[in-house]
Amino acid sequence: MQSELATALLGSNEGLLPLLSEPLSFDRQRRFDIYRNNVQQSLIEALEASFPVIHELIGAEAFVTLANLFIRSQPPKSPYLVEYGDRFSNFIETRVELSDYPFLAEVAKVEYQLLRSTHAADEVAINDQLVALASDPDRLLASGFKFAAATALMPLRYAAASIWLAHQKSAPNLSGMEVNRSEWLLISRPSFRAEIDLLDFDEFQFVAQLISGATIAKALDVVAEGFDLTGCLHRLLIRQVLTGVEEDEC
Amino acid sequence: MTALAQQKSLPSRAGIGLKFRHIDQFLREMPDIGFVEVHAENYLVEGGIRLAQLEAVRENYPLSIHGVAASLGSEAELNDDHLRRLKRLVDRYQPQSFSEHLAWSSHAGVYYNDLLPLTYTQERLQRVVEHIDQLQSYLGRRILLENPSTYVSFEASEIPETVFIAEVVKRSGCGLLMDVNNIYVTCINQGWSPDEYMAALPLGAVGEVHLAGYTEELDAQGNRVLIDSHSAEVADEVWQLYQRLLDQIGPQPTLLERDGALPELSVLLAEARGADSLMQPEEVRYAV
Repeated sequence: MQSELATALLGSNEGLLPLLSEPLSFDRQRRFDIYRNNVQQSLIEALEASFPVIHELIGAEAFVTLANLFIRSQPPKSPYLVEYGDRFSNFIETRVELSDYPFLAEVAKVEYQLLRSTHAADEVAINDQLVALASDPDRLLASGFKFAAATALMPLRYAAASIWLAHQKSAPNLSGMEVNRSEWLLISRPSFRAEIDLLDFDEFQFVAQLISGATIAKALDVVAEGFDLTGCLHRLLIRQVLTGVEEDEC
Repeated sequence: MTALAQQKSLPSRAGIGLKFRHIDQFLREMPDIGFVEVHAENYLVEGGIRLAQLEAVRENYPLSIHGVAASLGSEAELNDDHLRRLKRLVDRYQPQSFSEHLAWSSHAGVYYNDLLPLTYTQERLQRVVEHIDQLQSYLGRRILLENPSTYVSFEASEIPETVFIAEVVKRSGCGLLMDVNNIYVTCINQGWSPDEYMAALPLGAVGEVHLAGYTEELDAQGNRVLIDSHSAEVADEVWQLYQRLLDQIGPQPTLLERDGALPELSVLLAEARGADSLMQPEEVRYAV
């Protein structure tokens, strides 16, 4: 019976209706539809809560249509609805009707990462150690770092982060915004709120090196001369992303 | 059955379900309320603000953690990962009560996010008892099981719903979370008498009561079907049924549930005071 009911919730209910008792009032179909509506409505609401900027960008009606298609094609695998939507961005990318707005998939990706960072494990930053290291350049250069689980770097083909940031105001204005440009993001959670930093390409490369385990000396190899190391370390300190230090003995 | 630790129970007062939209205000104002209930699944995250807020709530109020996704009514095995996450939450916050539903929500790897109905058969009864045993042993505590709200019934069912629930409670040793709105909704939808239904449940096992509002639809003949939407004030008929329950079993920890069309926090607190006043001795009640 569960398999017939499950199938009917997101698809055809032909197999289910004969298994239901004839009710006193309302036909079986209308009664069963209450469950179907609950399932669909609650999952649409979950996606709306996770992707508010996508909702605002495409409008309520289009969002419901998109969410319904997504729910049918990729229903949730777990009860943790803050984790539902990890593939929403990929799904948006495949939708022909949205192909005029290629930045949407990346906005969804940013929203999902913000959510992940918001709920990531609590960790303590090693800011005091970093300050101590900074007074000894040789040790600092030989150091590599561990990053908080809430940290993410994202390279974007479009200005999806700027679009997201514009929507944090009550009346977002995208007019005049050049969306066909790359952006490089650092997402972090310094206190309880996930934050977005727009980096330049050098800083992005540098932090990416550190995240992959390189020492500062090695990470500096990928950036141009004149790179603002102090400014970058200051940012990493403010954003509380460094949670461990490993000094290279050699 | 494993011997299960008896937790300190919730106070026999009214509590409210705490929603994200209200939590900042709630923690600022710290209203005088009997207890707070949250949905387990909203807090099964690794870290961040939600857990910090729950910590603050727990320091100041008795806590009920209410699960909606264990899928105790599933034909299949319970999900191990979910059990582990629940245990971590319960161990960390030590709630006065943990409750779940007589329903299923997962099937073949898909989570439907709704409390779906069971066929009431001997086989299913045995399975539900095994699942509750497993959950109780794993959490190391007795749980409360909530009676369902239903819109359909199955040809294959062979046991009346109240008998099924009473038998589950008896065999598993769990307590009963008596949802008075669910009783009313189910009975109207199924053509049963709410009072007879309530009387047939194991009243001695009640550890908590839920009150909520329903919405309704009418068919062409004007028949009502009630939907357990939690998006309205508690209906008069449900208050009356609750009063008759209190007359029989005395004051109970009573939760005002509201999930949809969420009003101001003050409205929920006023509803909770309404339940509190019904729990006062009669002379006090009428003096208020």
